[in-house]
Amino acid sequence: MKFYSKVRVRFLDLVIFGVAAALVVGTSLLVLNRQSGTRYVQMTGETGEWIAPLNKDAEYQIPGPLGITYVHIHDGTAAVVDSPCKNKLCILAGAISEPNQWVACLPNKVFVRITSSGTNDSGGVDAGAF
Amino acid sequence: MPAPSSPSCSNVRSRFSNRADVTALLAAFCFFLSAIEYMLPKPLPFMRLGIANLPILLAVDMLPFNWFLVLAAAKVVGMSIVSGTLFSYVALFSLAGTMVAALVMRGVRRAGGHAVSLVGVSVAGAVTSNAMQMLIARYVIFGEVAWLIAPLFLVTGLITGTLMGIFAEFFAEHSNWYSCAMGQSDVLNFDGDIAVNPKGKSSQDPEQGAPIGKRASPPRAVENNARFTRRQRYEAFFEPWISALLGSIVAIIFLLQSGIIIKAAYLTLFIAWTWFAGKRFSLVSTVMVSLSIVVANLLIPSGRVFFKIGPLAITQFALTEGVSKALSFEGLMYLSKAAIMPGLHLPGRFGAIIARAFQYYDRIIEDQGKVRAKTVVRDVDALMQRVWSSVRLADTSLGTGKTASKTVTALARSRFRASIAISLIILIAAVTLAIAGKLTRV
Repeated sequence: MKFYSKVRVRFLDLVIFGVAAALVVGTSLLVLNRQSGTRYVQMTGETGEWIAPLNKDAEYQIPGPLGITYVHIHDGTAAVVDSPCKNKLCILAGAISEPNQWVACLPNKVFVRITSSGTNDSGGVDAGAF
Repeated sequence: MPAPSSPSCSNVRSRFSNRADVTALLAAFCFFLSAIEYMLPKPLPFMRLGIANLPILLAVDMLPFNWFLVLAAAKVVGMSIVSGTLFSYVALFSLAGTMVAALVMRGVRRAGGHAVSLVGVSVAGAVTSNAMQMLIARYVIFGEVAWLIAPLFLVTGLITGTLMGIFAEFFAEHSNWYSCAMGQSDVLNFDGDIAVNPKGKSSQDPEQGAPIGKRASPPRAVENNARFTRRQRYEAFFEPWISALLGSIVAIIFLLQSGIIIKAAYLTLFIAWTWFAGKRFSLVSTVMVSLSIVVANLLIPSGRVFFKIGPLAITQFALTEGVSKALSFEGLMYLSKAAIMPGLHLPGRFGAIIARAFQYYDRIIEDQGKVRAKTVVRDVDALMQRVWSSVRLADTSLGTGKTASKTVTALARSRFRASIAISLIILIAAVTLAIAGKLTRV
């Protein structure tokens, strides 16, 4: 109490405090937005599950009964670039980037989909899609 | 400005014109406050109150620009020597945060003039400092997830900055030492005594009635007797500057490693070295900090999913990345602790200021005066004045004490040889580990 009564807060103090507070609110909103906007590539193979952030370029090799399916993450999109299946439908399906989009190589039992969080509890592909 | 009216006044005036000296005193208070900060409990490992920045805040109006920057740099280097973090990432955080905040605080003060008080200056400094540290955290240890804690850290900066600003403003208003330093007053006045105390160190604190500098050893000193013996033995055999040089070489070798196992091996070596050096360390806090770094990295999943704990997926790359960063962080921490000895003297004028600041720091720690919450400003003010006048007298005796006798040089020579021998052992261990790592590719 004593401190406060003796300290003269001036005009620019309030301005600075306001700017700083706005910065805090702005960062919070940005973080919330960014977090909800973060997408992941979820790759399920016969032997396990892989997760990778969509915004970081990477190559993944998912083993299946026929061999290895190569998933390429590049420029915010994910695509199957090679797979040991006969029809190569998974490669033809092209790149995916929106949540709940998916590509599958059914012969090699590899399933690739985009999720909007690192866990598989959100979004969710309807059973009919598989 | 009125002309000095008595000899003591002109002493005070000329004393304050010695910028290096004022800078050293303020830096000493930075060290002291950071030591206090270190003892306070923290909700998160990297969250701080920022009281160590108070002297810098006060110096905004007191020192010319170049000395102001020297103070900020001295704070970073000195604190890193006190806490032994000079070679670790912590020093990088401290350096970036402090220097940028110092520039911002100075800039706000210059631009704002009378329309801004120390509260505004402090808030601007604290928020930029925390923002700067977030940026480094993002790129060095935490990764993407650093953005998640950014709002929390900025809010902390806003709150602590305001509190520190209010305190600094209040202190500046009421401190006698401050008004002397600003040239608004000519007479130092503490506890009714005048500044120049002819008895110096042996003077008694009027309120406590206890002689200064005779303090019962803290209880942990008894507990850690074994550690102190190790430390004395180590210091008797190891030259501080050789230790620091060795530390920086080993730090470079360590940073070139990338495998987790090899990094863990280095960490073990550094912990052993810290133990031999008799430095205090806590494995519990090491584990806690490491865990927080690992968990932060796991929040952005990447790679094969090993297993899931609730919503958190433990993924291969995120895990190795987190463990690797935690090992680097802790490895440098221990290396720095072991290699930075308190007797380290830096060369040049900057080194001289740091050395002087350490003299003041010792006086602050020795001081018997109590700081009570009710009269905190008056007590701290008195402490500053006591410390300031005591070192000045001690300084004159310092010159005569430096005459080196032959036995001292002989001792120094044997210590030098011992240092080289220890350095070689540690260097060989470090290089062997590096080569082993290369050969086995771990």
